[in-house]
Amino acid sequence: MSERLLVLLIEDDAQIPRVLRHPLAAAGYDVLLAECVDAGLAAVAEHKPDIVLLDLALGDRDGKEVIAAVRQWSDVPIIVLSARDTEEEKVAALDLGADDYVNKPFGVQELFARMRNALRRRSRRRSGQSVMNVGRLTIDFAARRVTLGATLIVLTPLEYDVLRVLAQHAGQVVTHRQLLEAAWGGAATRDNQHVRVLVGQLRRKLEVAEENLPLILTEQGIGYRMRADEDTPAGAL
Amino acid sequence: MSAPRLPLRIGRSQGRDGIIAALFSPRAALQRLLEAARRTAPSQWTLTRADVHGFALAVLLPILAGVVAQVFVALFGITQLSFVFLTAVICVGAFFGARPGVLAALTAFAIYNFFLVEPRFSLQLATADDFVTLVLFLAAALATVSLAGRMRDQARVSERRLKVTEALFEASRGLALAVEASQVHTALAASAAKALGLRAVVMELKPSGVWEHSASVSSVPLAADELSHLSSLCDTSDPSLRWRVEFVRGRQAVLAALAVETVLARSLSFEDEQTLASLAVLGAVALERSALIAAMAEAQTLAEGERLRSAMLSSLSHDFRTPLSAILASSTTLLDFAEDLNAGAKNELLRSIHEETERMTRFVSNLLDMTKLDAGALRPNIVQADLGDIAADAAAHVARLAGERSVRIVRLGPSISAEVDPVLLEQALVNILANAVDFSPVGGCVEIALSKNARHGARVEITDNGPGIPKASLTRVFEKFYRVPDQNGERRSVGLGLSISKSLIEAMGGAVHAESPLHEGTNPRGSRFIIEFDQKKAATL
Repeated sequence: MSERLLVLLIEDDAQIPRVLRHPLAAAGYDVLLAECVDAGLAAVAEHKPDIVLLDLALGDRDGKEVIAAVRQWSDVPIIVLSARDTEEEKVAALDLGADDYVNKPFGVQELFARMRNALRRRSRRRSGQSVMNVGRLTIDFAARRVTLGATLIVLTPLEYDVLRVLAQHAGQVVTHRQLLEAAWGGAATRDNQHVRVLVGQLRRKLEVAEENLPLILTEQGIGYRMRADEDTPAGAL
Repeated sequence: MSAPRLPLRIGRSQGRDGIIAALFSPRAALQRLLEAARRTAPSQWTLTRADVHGFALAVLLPILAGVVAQVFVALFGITQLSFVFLTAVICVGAFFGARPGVLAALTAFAIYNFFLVEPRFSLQLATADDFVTLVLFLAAALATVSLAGRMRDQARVSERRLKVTEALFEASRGLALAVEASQVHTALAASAAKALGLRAVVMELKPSGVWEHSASVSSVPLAADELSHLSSLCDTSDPSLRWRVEFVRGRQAVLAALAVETVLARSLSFEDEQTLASLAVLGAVALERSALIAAMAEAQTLAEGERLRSAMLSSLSHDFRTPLSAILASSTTLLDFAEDLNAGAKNELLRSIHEETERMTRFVSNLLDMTKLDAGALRPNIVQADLGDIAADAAAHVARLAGERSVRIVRLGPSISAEVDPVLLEQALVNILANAVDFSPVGGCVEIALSKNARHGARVEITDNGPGIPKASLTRVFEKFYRVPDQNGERRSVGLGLSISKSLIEAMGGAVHAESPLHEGTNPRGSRFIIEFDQKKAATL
């Protein structure tokens, strides 16, 4: 990377920053540390970090407050570092607008892969790319055209909406609720079963001739993640 | 046991008409007396002392009145002395009831006629006036006695009702104190026996569907055949000449059966029936409450077990993951970025791995100890040991962990020996010291001080300058997985160490408690853990 990116680490356990600053520095990141919700929010506003790593257990306050507040004015990628592995916690964090989460304990390579994914998504969104490739799959967002190799895949409007949202967040988890809202709109049913059926149909149409790697990964109890083109994070759930 | 009183039965069951009938119709009265006698066991039917007194006075008082009247006649020549006799009759009637009253009236009538009405000393009457006077006297005497007797009978009814009320009140108090079903049964049998003056048995329906004896109050033990008879009575709800069975019904099912032995009485009086029914209702309420208490206790035990299990799981997930994160992140950094790291960074990562491994080791050994303590498998090996040495070892152990945050551990006081298990005590001290270090500010100081306590026992104090412990949490900090709410050390505590320390110290015969805050004010700070071993277990070197 030509310029050094700024990572804001919001974490109240002293050990994690003490350890992480070495590999982050080696990988070309500058590290900023905040130990509580308020300091974290102030640091986001003042230093405009390129990416935020957020622990959810911040003393007596909940790290999810940071996500909710930051999302009111910034789309900086937020990756949650969590020792809590309940599905509700993850879903709540993702629904609030977190980009991804890494379960403690984690290896640094997995963390870096998730960080690269989140940063790529942001740059892709900023560059306004209208065509996306994942393996042999090509999605032309402008023409609403999906092709697998040379074959044109015919999708229903609902299937296309689900695929579009998954592709736009390739490499990241999209919750059931986010998919429901994308496909049916806010007032629609909240039954996850509809999403399951649609994803099943998408898999049948898109993964028939696909190589061994599945295109759409299931995140049990949370949602779905479309494989990113560039890499498959080691240790991905 | 108090025998039912006959006048009451007549007065109560027949009302005013009955009394008058008893007064004016001796045959009917006799019939009623016999009937009442039949209803009561023969052994129970005896004239009470008060009855005997009443009849005796019914004869004596009119005689006394006759003597007084003779004196009046001799001294003052007054012959209209019916008021003297009336007074005697009213007295007997008011104090001893209708029957002695009637007897007194008749006696007075005879004496008045014999001694005072001409011709005196004869029952013959001289004039029609005398006859009218005597008849009027008798009528007045009987009417007075009837009124006086009725008042007395009513008083007795009230007294009897009061007794029933008192018996029920006492029963409800006894039942309120009973917690378990068996206690309710015992209280119910006792209340019934006392209130009715009869043998009382409480039978319970076993889950197998068989009625079994649960409690009884009886001067003679119940024979096996009596119990099996009762059991079948409860089963079939057949009427019995000997036992009156009242079922104790809850809102949904029959909870028990209350049986009283009526023997020859065949049936209970109206009031006794009411008492029995009220007792059954009181018993039902008490039994349902006891079932609720039992269900609540069970639910609490389950909830407590569930709380511990979930606390254990969340502790495992959180307290293992946090140190593991540091270890995994450090080790993967060392593997993947070795070339980019300088010697200082590598050293710091290695130290981090070491410290976090120590922390996890402490956690794991605490978990194992807790399991052993819970299972009662941890046996202290008590020897006379120098507490100073043990404290120094514990302090050195914790100092290694505390080094990064430059928390000093200072040992104060003389060397003291006590009968302890040195290994377990060191572990207990390490947990308390580590907790103190975790909650100390960077650059803080933790003191460990040894001294003799007021009872010449050994005392170890561990003092920190951390945020302190809220009063409400002072005893709770020793509970498993308890964490003081809204408070975090820079390195969060596991919630097990203090609980284990307490168990270890108590296993060695010592005691531990916490004091906090040590410095009051707007920013209260500091806590102190005090460990003490009894005098007989300790001696100063």
